[in-house]
Amino acid sequence: MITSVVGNIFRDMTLQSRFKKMKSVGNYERLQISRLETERGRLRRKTDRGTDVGLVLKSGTKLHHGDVLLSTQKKLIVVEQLPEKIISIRLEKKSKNLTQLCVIIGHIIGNRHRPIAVDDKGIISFPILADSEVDVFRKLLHTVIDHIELKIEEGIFQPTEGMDVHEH
Amino acid sequence: MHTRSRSIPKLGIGGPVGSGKTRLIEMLVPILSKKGYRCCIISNDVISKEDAERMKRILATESKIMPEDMIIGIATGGCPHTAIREDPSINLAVVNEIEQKDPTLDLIIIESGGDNIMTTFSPALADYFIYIVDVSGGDKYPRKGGLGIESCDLLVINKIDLALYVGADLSIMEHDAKLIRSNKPFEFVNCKTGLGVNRIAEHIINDLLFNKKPLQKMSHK
Repeated sequence: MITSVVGNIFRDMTLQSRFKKMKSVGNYERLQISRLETERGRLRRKTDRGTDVGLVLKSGTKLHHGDVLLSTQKKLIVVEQLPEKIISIRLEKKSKNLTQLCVIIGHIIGNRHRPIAVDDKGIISFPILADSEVDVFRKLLHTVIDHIELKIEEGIFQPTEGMDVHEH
Repeated sequence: MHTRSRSIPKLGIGGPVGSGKTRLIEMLVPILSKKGYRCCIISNDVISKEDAERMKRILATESKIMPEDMIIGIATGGCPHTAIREDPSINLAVVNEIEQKDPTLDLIIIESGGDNIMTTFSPALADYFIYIVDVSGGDKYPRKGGLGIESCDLLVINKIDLALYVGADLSIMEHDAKLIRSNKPFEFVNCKTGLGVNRIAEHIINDLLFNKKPLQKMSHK
């Protein structure tokens, strides 16, 4: 039974080097969960090597890709968030009215109730369920389509803090 | 006697109108009760509290499996999913009251009002999510997908006895459920007769209750 998170291998350099060491000797196990499951406080899953893990976390705790759930001499269990389909939008930087562009894009994505992530290069991304949604968003964004680059990719979606609203 | 509230495992049950959410609970609770697990039920409905009243009659008055005050009806108004996802505060307040009132309960079951295939529960409200559909909607379910069908912990396909009469092919539903849910479980049931409901109880005991013995049994040791 796991009741707290040890740390994260992408934020804690000590844990990262331990992760590398444990991985090299084959003592590393992945607990693969979906993005929606990272918000669960109670969950039972098996790691890729069959270890039965019961998670009972404090209410409001959110798991992250790379979180270490167990760190012992013989075993390191790390959360691996499953990749999903994502639409990413890159803005044409030379566009005359970037503010207008951003508001329109935000309005359209918001109306579809999607969580969003904005990276430090200004690329906006949000999850989708099916490839066909690309066409839907191309149509919805038709007024600004010449000023953006829109593509579908598969990756680990991590919403920007505060932008992880419900979706449906 | 416990003096402090504890977080009781919470099971959310969602699905379209008439898919069998209430009936599933009515069949599940006696099975869990027989094993010693004590439950409370919160039943969300849009306008009325009809489902809660029915469960009170069947599970409390008639069969005396649980006390009447452990079945609570909430008339949510508005779209059903708003009360279990966007703003679950009314349900969270009731959960909090129950946890204070009886921390020795093993499980709180939260039934959503009938909704669409995108229904999900806020993770703040439910620890485990069952989505139930029925074959009378056609064997296109679960192929059509949707967040509820795809993301739930357990997909339940009910009313399999009707398949013959509505031209639904269960093998198609089985094939599509496997495909769309990857390795996540799904079960065929007939909540009218109880066929398959034991397996649902096993999933709950294993995946939500972590095979723990009922609390009152433990405290009596």
